[in-house]
Order: sequence, then C-alpha cells, then structure tokens
Amino acid sequence: MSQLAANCPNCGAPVQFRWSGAVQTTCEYCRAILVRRDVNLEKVGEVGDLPREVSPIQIGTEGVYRNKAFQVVGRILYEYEDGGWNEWHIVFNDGTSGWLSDAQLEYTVSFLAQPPEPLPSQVARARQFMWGGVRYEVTSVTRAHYRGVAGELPFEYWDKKDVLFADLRTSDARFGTIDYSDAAPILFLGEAVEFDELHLKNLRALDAGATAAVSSLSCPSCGAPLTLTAAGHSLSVVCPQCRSILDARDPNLQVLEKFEAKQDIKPILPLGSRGKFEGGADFDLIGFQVRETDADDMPESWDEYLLFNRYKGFRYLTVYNGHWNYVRTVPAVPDRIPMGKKQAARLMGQTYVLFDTELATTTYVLGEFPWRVHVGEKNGIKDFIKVPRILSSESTEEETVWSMGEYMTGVQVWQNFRLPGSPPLARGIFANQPAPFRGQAGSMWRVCMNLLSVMILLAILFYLFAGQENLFSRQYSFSPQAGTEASFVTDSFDVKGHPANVEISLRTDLRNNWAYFNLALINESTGQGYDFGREVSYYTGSETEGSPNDSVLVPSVAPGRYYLRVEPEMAKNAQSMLYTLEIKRSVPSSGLFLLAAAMLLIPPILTTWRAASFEQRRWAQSDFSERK
Amino acid sequence: MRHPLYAIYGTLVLAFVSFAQYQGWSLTRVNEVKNIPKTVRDNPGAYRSHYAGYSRYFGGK
Repeated sequence: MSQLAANCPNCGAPVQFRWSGAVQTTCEYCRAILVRRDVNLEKVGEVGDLPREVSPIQIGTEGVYRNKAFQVVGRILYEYEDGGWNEWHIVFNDGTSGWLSDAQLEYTVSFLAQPPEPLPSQVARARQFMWGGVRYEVTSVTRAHYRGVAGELPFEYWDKKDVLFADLRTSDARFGTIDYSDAAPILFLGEAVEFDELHLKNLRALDAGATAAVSSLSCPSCGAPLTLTAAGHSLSVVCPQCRSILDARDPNLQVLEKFEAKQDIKPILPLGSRGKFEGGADFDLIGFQVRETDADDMPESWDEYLLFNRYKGFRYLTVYNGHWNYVRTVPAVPDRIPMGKKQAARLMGQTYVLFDTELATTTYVLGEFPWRVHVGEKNGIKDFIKVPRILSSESTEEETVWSMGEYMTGVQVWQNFRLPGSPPLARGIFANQPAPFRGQAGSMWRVCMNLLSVMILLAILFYLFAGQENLFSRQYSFSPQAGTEASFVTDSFDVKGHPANVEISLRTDLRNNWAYFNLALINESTGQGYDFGREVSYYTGSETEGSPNDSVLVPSVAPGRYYLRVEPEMAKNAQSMLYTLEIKRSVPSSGLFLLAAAMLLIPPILTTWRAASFEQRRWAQSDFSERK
Repeated sequence: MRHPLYAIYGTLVLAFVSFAQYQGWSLTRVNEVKNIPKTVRDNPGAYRSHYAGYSRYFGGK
C-alpha cells in the first residue's frame, strides 16, 4: 500500500498515515487497531480505556533530536508495579524512526540496534556488557504489563500481556533496553535526554494550572482534604491529619499504612510553594520527608523536599543544618575507581571522591511521592563529592538509584521560593559546601606576583635613580695613647632637597682590635641632632669575626647645614687607627621593600591557610577522615 | 581583576613604600636630640653623647 490515506475497515472513517513505513495504526474515531495486510487495512483489535494522560507528549508532538526534526506518530503504554511509562514512536524527516521513552518525565531516545554479541535469554540487575568499548550495566529488570497502543507503529503490537525489559545505563548517560517481548530478545540503544533539549512543540494541553495537574480529594480515613499536584505520577500521598499513607493511583485512595510520629513536624518550606529552578522553570513543592541516620551512634536527621514540574519531572531539595542541595536523579551508572586510599566514582568525565557511607531511615513523610513511601524504610547511602556537587547512591535490595546534588545556600532557596524573612543560618561545614576561599588562593597569588613584580621594578628604579649624593668624605687617625681630647667636629656640609636619608660610613684599618664611635649629626642652625654610636670590631685568624667597616642610616634628614661630632674610643693600650668618614644623602635601602613584600604576602598566605583549614575541617567529618 | 580589595591594598602598600623611600624613612631609628648648644661646634668635648660611658663588651679573641 503506497497511499498515506485509507478508510477504517471498522467504521469507514478516514485513516491518515504520517509515516509510510507504519505497519500498525489505530482509528481515531472507533479506536480500532488496524494492521496493514498487503493493500488492505485489517482490524485486529480495539484500544481499551487508557489511564489519565499525564505525559506532556502526544501523537503529533514535534521535536528535534541531534539536529534532526522528528514527529511523534505512535505510542505503546506500559504499566508496572511502581508506575508506568510511554514508548513514543518517533519518525524523523529522513524516514528513519526511533523511540522516545517517557518514564515519570525522564526521557530517553533509543533506536533498534544490532547486538554486538548474542543477547542472553535472561539477565539480572548489575550484569555488565562491554559493547563498543563502553560498559553497559543492567540497572533494572522490569516485568511490565502492556496497557495499550495508539497511532502508528513499525511492527504489529497489540496482543501483548506481560513483557520483560532490562534497562541498561553507562557512566556517560547512554541508555539501552533489552526487550524480551518477542521470542528472541532485541536491543535498543540510545541516550538520556533533557526535556528542554528536544525543543518539543504541539504538546498536550495542561489540565489545570501552569505546571501541574491538580486534583482535590479527601482522605478515606479521616476525611481531611488532600491535594494531588502530580496526579498520574504520584504513587503515594500522605494525609497530614491522620498520617495515613494512601495509594495515589487508586481512585479511592486506598490506605496503605499509617505511621506514628513522636510529634508533628512542620516543614520549613510550606508544601504547595512554587519556586524557580533550572533557568526559571516553575517547580511545585509537593512532598516532604525526614530521614535519619545513626552514624557514630549520634542520630542525625535531615529533611528532603520533593519538587515537581509537569514537563521536567521530579527534583529534590535536601537540607541539613542550614546547608541545602538541589538534587536530581542521574540517568547513568558511575564507574567506580580507586583513588589512592580512597574510593571514587567517575560520571560524565568527572571524578567524585567517596565521603560518607550511612544507613538512612525514613522517619516522617508528608505530601505526595512518585514511589511507594514507607516510614521505617532503610536505604544504604554513599556520598561522593566534587565540590560543589555531591553524587549519591541510594540502595535497597531491589535497586540502586544515583542522584546528583548541587550545593545551595539558604538565601538562594529563599529567593527561589520568594519566601519572606531569612533562612536559618548554616551551621558547621557540609560535605560539598564550597570553601569560601576556594579558587581564590590561586588567583590571589597571581595578583600578588604582579604586585611583587611592580615592587621589584620600583626598587630597581629607586636604586638606579637614587641621588647617592656625596656630602662629606675625609680620612682621620686616632691614637688612644695620645692622651688628647678625642672628640672633634667635621666641617659643615649642606643637605639639600627634600627630606632624605643620610648614610654615615666608617671605614677603618682595624685588625684584631675594636673601636667605638660616638657620633652626632647636628643641624648647625636649629641645634637638632641625631645621636648614635657605632662599634667597629674586626678579628681575624683561624676564623674571622666582625668587619673593619660599618655604616648607619639616619632616616628622613631635613634639608639644612650640618656637621658631624665624632668621638672615637679604643682600648687605652691599642695602636692608632686610620679611618675614613663618608657621608652620603639619599641612599637606596632594601628594608622598606622587604617590609612591603611581607605586607603583600600576608593576604594570599592567610587565604591559602584558610582554604586549607576549611578542607581539613570538611574531611574531618568524613567517614574516610585520616583522623578516624 | 578578581581581587579588587587586595589589588587596592597592594597598590596602597606600593605607594606608601615609594613615598617612604623618597622621604628617606627607615625601619631603623636613631636617637633624636633637640637644642644641642652651638658651643659644641667650638668645644666638641663639652657634649656628652647619649651613648658615651656605657659599658661595652666587644668580644674578640
């Protein structure tokens, strides 16, 4: 049959084919399932009542995958114990087709693939396959119930009952499914995709509200009003009055269990709040749970909030001691790798270091959840960190779920929800909390190096252009045995220009002897003087000690006419000495530059120290701290 | 510039050290004496240095 239009053999209504390769379709009028037999359409069955539509995708939705436009032309709907999912049959504009899977608003695109090796007749969770150098791990084996079909499919698919699927993931978000619905298993390979990156158009009209399909119900146990924001996605809803956990998929809200709590807990973020995340998308806060761990025999609890967006699905906000994390599940299985004495996980090219392992118990629940929530449920948790992210695995006997959290401050959370007031202050240091000085030390050292370079340049300039003006120079002799008055004054000399230092140098011919010089640089007109003494001693033999020369720097000498009073002293029996007095103005000095260098080094040293100290305190809390 | 405050601080330090260098400031101090009599010029022995007469040990061998 080459035409893309025909009439329904059941009701005569026109049947339009969007894809020429379709083998099966359904009549939009009488819901007959039609199969192409040569040139005819044959009715093989009827589509039963399908559950309430909660997927934003519908037949006719258009999108783009890897720069190729596609259109949704068919659908297979499956249900299993914990929910359901759609396999949307998508047809690209080049005539090829694939599958867009929508499982609780987590999306994958996959294509029929030739298995690199014969597929096993049965698989178990955690089994691994190496296909094309990529490690695929079986993350779930699901026995699903075929619920119905719609639109055009590439094969006959209408008489199924229970079907077995094995889902596989990789560390880089590739995806695979082994489909056991036929005698020989078939393989589909693809990847996880974000809702936004598909650029979907012609989506299903929303039932109510901007983002959510809200249903108002009442608790069958106590009659209290309940709200189901994520109706169709939620599996459990908790009555806040009587603490009954209800089956959200049951129209009668069957009571699954009731739980006891020591006290009512009021979430700090009110259920029903709407906040903006992921570039401004609205998320409704629909669930709340408290989880507790008794690591180190010290019970510690944290809160988890469940967020929902009708297109993007579920997200989580966790808070512990005022430290927040925005969390979403990861459509990948990290590679576990050793990292020295520590363990690490590698995901999407990033390495996360194991920080903590703990057993968490759910102690309180409120609102609605996309899983069968159960107070007392225990999960083994492993946290790997790469600041500011935290990669966590939560394991039960049945499955392991990986999630990725990104650190948020309370202020950011308050801003996102436009809450009044301010959040509780964060206490202590959290595993993936960004260090306040993280990344600053390196850049600060770079600025420091620039400043030190400028300082060295300045020092060179001062050295080159310092006046070093000779004011006075004369040689004298002194004999302690002469018995005459030792003190004398030099001729006057002028100190000109701006205030500057004056260096007085003493060069003696002392050898194995000492001399002491009482010196006073005196302003002739003001009588102001600088009084100081210098010792000069020089001994040489098997070892050498001291120096026959010395100098002193008189700081900031004002301009004026000066003379020097000199009073040498020596041991009374010492031989005479010859010495030269030399006076210079504006002499370069390294002391100030060394002080400046020290002052420039203080901030980066402090920053480096504080950053290192923060990391030390962070890891002191880890199960893998070297202190433990 | 990632650290404007530090850059400003560093610039001030460099400006200060340049000014101090120009003015001849020093980390060492010498004793400043005011009103030294002009007679010292003619009679140097009449002036008593602050450091004169201190007992000193110069070591040696």
